[in-house]
Order: sequence, then C-alpha cells, then structure tokens
Amino acid sequence: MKEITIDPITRLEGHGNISIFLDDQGEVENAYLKIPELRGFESFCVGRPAELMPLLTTRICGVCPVAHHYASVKALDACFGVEPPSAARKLRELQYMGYICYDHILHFYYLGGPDFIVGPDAPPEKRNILGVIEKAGLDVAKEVIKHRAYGQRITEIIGGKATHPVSGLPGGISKALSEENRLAILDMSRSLVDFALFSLKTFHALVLDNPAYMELIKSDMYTQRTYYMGMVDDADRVNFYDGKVRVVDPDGKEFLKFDAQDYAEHIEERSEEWTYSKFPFLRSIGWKGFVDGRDNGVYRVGPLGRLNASEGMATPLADQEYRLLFSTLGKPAHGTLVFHWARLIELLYAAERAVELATDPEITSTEVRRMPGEPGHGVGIVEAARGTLIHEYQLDRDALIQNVNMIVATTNNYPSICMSVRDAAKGLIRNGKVDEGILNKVEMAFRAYDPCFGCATHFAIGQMPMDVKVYGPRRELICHLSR
Amino acid sequence: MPPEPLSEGGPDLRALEDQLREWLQGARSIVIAGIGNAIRRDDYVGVKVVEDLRDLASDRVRLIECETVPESFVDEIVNMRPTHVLLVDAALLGLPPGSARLYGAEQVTSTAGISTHTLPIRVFCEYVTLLTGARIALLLIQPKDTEFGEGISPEVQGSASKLESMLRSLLA
Repeated sequence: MKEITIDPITRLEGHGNISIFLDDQGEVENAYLKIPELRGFESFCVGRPAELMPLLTTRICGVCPVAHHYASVKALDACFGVEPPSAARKLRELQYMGYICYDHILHFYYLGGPDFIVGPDAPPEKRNILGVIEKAGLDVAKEVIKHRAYGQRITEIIGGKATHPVSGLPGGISKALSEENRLAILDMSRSLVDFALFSLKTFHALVLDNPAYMELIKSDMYTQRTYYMGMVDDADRVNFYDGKVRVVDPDGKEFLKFDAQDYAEHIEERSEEWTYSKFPFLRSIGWKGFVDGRDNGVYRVGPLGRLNASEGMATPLADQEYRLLFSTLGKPAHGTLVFHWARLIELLYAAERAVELATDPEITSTEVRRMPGEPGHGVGIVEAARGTLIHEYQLDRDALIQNVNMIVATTNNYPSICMSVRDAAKGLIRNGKVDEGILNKVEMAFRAYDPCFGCATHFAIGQMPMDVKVYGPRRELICHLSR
Repeated sequence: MPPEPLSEGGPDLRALEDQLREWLQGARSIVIAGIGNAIRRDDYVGVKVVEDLRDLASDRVRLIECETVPESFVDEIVNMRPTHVLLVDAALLGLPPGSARLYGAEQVTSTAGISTHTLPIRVFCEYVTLLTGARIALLLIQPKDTEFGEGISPEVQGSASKLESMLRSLLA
C-alpha cells in the first residue's frame, strides 16, 4: 500500500521544529523551538476597509475565529470611538462563551487532554479522540460531539456562521436574539454545565487521584516560575470578553493592571534570528533570556495564566473548583500541566456564564447597535481560549487600514513554551541517550499550552508535524526524530 | 509541452473518473466536504469545488464547506448517516499544479502531529469511520500558490471546473 503525506502547505500550520543541543557530557545544553515560516498577514491587511478586518482576521485560524472576530470588533469600537449598547455587549459575550466551550472541549477530549485521559505513555496515534473512545467508550464520544456542537451552535446563532462569525460590527452587533433562539441557547448552556461537571469529575478520577500523574504535574521538568497575565473584571475575577489586563508576579502578587489602549507601555517584543515569531516580555522588568523568575519579564497567558492572574471565577461552581485547584497546588500554580485542569474550570465557567446571560432579560433587547464616529486608532483585547489576544489598528480618514499590530496568545506564551520544551528535554536526555520516548514527554510540555502557530506566525491553520533534531557538542546532527 | 493536467479526455481525467465511479458504487448517502482557506489562494480549491456544486445538494448528496476545520463538522456529518464521505482538499502531491488524485483514507499518513490545535486528517477520517461506518476518500488537488491573497490560479481553477463537472455527472 502506498502511504502519502498531506503536505504542510494545506493541512499543516507550518513546521515548527525543535533543536536540542548537547554538551560534551551528553547533557542538554539548550533547546529551541523554531517557527521558520512567516507570511505577512499584517501587510496583507493594509489598505483594506476597516470593516473587513473582523471577517479577514477570522481566517487566520479556523479554531479561534470568534476570538479574532471580537478582538477586531473591539479594536474597531475604539477606532470609531463608539461604545456598544449593553445588550450588544452581552450578546457578544454569550457568543464568546459558546466559543470557549467548543474550543476547550476540543482540546481536552480530542487533542492535548488525551495525554492524561489515555496516558502519557500511550502511543502518539492513540493520544487523541480515538484513544479516548477506546478507553471511555463510544457513548462518551457521542456526548463530546454533542456538546462541542452545542458550543458551535451558540456561536452560529449569534454569529451568523459557526466557523467564521459575521455579526460583530463597530458599535454593536448586526442582529438581536429572538426568544426562540434564547431558549435554545439556554437549554444547550444548561447541558454544557452538566457536561463540564462530568469532565471535571473525569479529570479528578484520572489525574488527581493518580499519584504518578500528580508527581508529573508537580515535577521540576514541568515547572516555570513566571509572571502571569489575564483579563479580569472589577473584582479581579476571570473575564474573557472585557475588563482590564492584570499581571501577577511569580509569587502571585498584583504587578500590573492596565487598559487595552495602554498595552504597548507594558509589553515589549523582541526578535531572535532563529525564528520568525517574536518574544513578548514585560517592558518594566526587561528581557533576561529564556529563564524564569521575577527578574525576567517572561509571562504566561491562557487558562493557567488567567487563573493565576485572577482572584476567582465569577460563577459559583467554577469558583469552587478554582479554590480546589489552588488549595491543592498552591497559588500561583507554576506547573505547565496544570493548564489542563484550568481549562476545564474555564469550560465550567463559560457554560455557567452562558446560562446567566441567556436568562438576562436584556439579552433579547433590540437595541444592539450605535453608530460609529470618525475613524482613528484603536486597540481591542479579548481572552482567546489560549490566552490574551491583542489587535491594534490605525485607520486613515477614509477608514482604510494604515497599520496593524497583533499579539496573539501563542506569541505571548512563546518564551515559556521554549523554556518548557528545553526543561522537558533536560529532564529526559541523559548521557546523550535519545530515543522516541522523549517525544511523548516533550510533546506534553508543548501541548499543554495548546499552541497555535497558525496564529503565532499569522499563517494558515492545520496540524503541525513534530521534527526534533539533536546536535552533539560540535553541532553535528546525532539524531533526527520526526512524525 | 506537457499536456495540461486533467485535460479534457486526457488519461488523468479518465482514470480519476473511473476511480471515483468505482468508489461511489453502492453509495446511498454521500457527503462532499470542501477543505481550505479563503485567503490562501489555491488552498481554497476544495471549498470552491463544493461551492460550485451547491445546486446539487439533495437528501442523497450533502455538501459541507468546512474551510479549515473539518473536525468542526463531525456532528453534522454523523447526523447525515453517510455511506460515503469525500473530502476535497489541496495538497502537495509533487505533481504539476491542477493535478488531482483520489486516495483512500487509509492511504493518508498515520503520523501524529505535535500541535494540539487541529485534528490530524488521518485521525479525523478514522473518527468519522468509527462513528458512521462510511467509506472515506480524499480528492486532492495540487496547488500552485498558497500565499495570502484572494483568487485561485488559472491552472487550479481549470481543474476545479473539470472536477466539478465530473462529480456532477457521476452524482446525477
């Protein structure tokens, strides 16, 4: 039988490759995750009408289009100096909760979560939904499909399309929610709450009750003492759609809190010659390289970043689980594998919040848009499933795009992803002995972040192959593993 | 000058038509799913073929424009209870632009990707097979240009039109 490879050009999002360098003793000296492809999405946007941005940016990534849609729409709100009506803000947030639900379900059951559900030592071809079905049965798979579809259906009802929403407009949203659709969303959201609780119960049984997994979670190999960033509401609780960006230090103390338009005062980006993706860091702390600790401005975003950077969840059941996480692991929790638990807590929050919004009497109001003002400059920030997402636009007086800057979630996490990959490699490679087994553990460090190199390089979306090269002390290639 | 891939009456087109006809034997319910990115030029060809077949949609033939996330349509595909699922996508085949080939899902590489971000196509195919029992095949088209931009190159568009006509006649 002939075997073919669907080439990266269409189904894959770019060859990220990992280079591991050994010293004379065969120990890991350093490791780098390189993202060598770059296509200029920002320059592709220049000269286009501003109102196209919420539609174009959704094509950066088929998995997080809702995040790009609303970062873009919020940037346009700011560009046109218009504040959406309260009902429009709630509709946007309700749609966003649908997105968080389907995205977090995708990661936990289909992609990264099976590292735990199926087991870290299972073969790679089983550490996905197929392994989950084998282990948990087809009925669980059907529930997974059903609830993922519920999240998509919620985004479709409000967003007009399931994959690439079209409803967000500067100043509001294009259509109001009917009572019939409100009831449908409410039913689905309630079911999602039950499903999130089931998922957490599963996680408790499989992971928290398993001493070997807990040891892995707490191991040095998977620990980074970094700063953490996430958006919070007025009470410093996690908020995906709106609020201020809060940063805590490696001891969990508030270090910064800023509004979207001030992001550039606090975040700086640097380039390295070996990769196209930039490395953001906290400007006031500075960049000291790929090291953790309070003297380096590396921060983490995403589920772990958000929970560490907040003081709680704004819904009751998620808040209970939030407190359980930190009473179990301490706060902040520095373990990279804790991302998985945090992700499930956020799934529960998103489902509960969707129920709250779907029962809010204002949600069916028909006052969903205000007219925009004159074009100018604006920044929009949302919390994408995998972390803080920033869109900044400068418009000319004809409302054409003059300049675009985006800092996407995976880019925020890129320094710590590199550090996690290196530390996992250091923990596993001894005396120059390298084998296929290192892939699993290096992968686990990497997959916990749910990285999106489609977004990070503003490239197309798909699966990324694993390509690991190990070099000896004279930079000679001694091992090449790829999948 | 080499003949244009999929030239009318050419060997590639005839072979492909024969393969598709054979693959479709006994098909009671067919899903045709187009995969691709609208702002990556020829990458969009799979979706374009499906778009152009829109008027063919019926209880027997279901069309899905998946764009870049076929895994987001698993629920829809499963609910359709298909006997056959055809994925139309651009892929580097090492052939001239516009060339097309039909592959069984089992021929797609079984390698797993490191990224957690989307489901590898092989896993997607196995997953759908497990849930539906359907036969799955991939109709793959060699792109010429997949940089950011709009519009499909003439070579690939020409093939897309021929494939659309072929599918139209086979499914009629």
